[in-house]
Amino acid sequence: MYTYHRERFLYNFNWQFERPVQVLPTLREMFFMSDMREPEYIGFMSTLQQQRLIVEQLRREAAVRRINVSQAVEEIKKFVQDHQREDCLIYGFHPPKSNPFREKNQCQLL
Amino acid sequence: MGPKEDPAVTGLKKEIESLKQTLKSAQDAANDSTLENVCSGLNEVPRLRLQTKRLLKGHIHKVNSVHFSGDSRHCVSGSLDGKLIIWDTWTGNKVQIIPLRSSWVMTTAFSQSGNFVASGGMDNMATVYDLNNRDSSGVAKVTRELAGYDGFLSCCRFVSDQKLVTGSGDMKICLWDLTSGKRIGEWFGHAGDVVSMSLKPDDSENVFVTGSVDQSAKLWDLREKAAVQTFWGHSADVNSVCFHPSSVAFCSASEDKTARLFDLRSDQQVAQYVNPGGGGGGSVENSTGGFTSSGLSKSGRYLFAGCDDSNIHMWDLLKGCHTGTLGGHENRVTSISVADNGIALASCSWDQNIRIWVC
Repeated sequence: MYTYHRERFLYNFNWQFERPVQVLPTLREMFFMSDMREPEYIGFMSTLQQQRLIVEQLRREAAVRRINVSQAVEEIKKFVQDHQREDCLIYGFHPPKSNPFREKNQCQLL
Repeated sequence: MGPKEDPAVTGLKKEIESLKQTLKSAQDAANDSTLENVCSGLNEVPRLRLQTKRLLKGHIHKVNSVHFSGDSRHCVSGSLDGKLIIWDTWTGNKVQIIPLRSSWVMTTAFSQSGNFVASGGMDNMATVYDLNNRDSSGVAKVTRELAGYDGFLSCCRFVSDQKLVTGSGDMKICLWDLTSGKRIGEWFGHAGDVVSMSLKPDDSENVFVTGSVDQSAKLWDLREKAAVQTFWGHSADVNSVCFHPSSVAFCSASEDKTARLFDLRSDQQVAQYVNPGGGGGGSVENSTGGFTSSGLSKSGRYLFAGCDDSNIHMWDLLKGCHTGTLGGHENRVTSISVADNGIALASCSWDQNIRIWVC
């Protein structure tokens, strides 16, 4: 199922964004969509059909299982703390010789 | 607008509104704390002292995109001068220069293996180059020219050496099989140009997130036919998205001068990062410009965002505070890329240079 909900964002002469206008597919787009896997979407899609697709997509998104922010953030925090010590951008290179960007000492022939 | 509305359409509109409400309530129900609260006991990290260890000069026009290879040593940059340059960041040398057929390049990508690079832009095509195979003039061979877009190519990423996923100005996402040169999948859902994408670290073959001009970010799974989740919050184009190394969250940077952290499992925004003195709601005179690009350090503790004001802003992700800026570029920073092993940050700018920042 594809969410075929097309909106073109219009700009007025001052390049300010105006409210979106729904656009139905042009002939070129219909042709272009015809190599999609699902053949039932070939052809002109009415507003009704587009709305149905949106409803289906929203239903799918609403059905997603969520966990609490507190728990989710705890896990992010734990990951960061576990890996922080190895983060070269924060703590640099240990040992310094492993830094491939360091200035190498020039050898001099005496 | 148009003829009198069909009652069926009106009915569906009501259902759409009520579903949106249900979604919002479900997200609010999960919103039982803030990042700030959970991390309030954390120690601060040392301030980042990054310096430009390599200044890569060579392009003669604005550089629009930079991307590190999986070896954390080479990177590719694409510029409006019509060239892709493959750099060895450890030495600062140019490994290859690839002339493009169209100079309007907007995006580049390096494959994880380092064998291929892809680029594309206003030519409405994605071109893939094989770095190990040169043609008769000594330049990397074009292995594929992928056409069929109705809009410019705005972002692309190698899922593997055989598959490329792209986002374009015609609002769709395409998956190409590079061995046959055929498109094997197309996904619709965004209502504006798909300008950025980032692969999930622990499932980079199937899952990725995209940012779009329609102000949302969407999570996609190549095995599903439609977007899995949609993330709202930004009030302007989402210019860049970047997955957190933990794979459970991603950050985004936007034209609205904020960067945000979205969590996948609670399905919502969990933090917002602004530039003090500017940012969402701040006065125009103080504003520092929108963010064009984002990146996260290897542990996920630091968030970087390239900005229109020529700086790269940095935040402590968990504490939420702005910890400084990396200055040096003389014009808008268009793209940043953090090396896979976290040793360096590459940034490119309209000032024609690429800088490699190292601690």
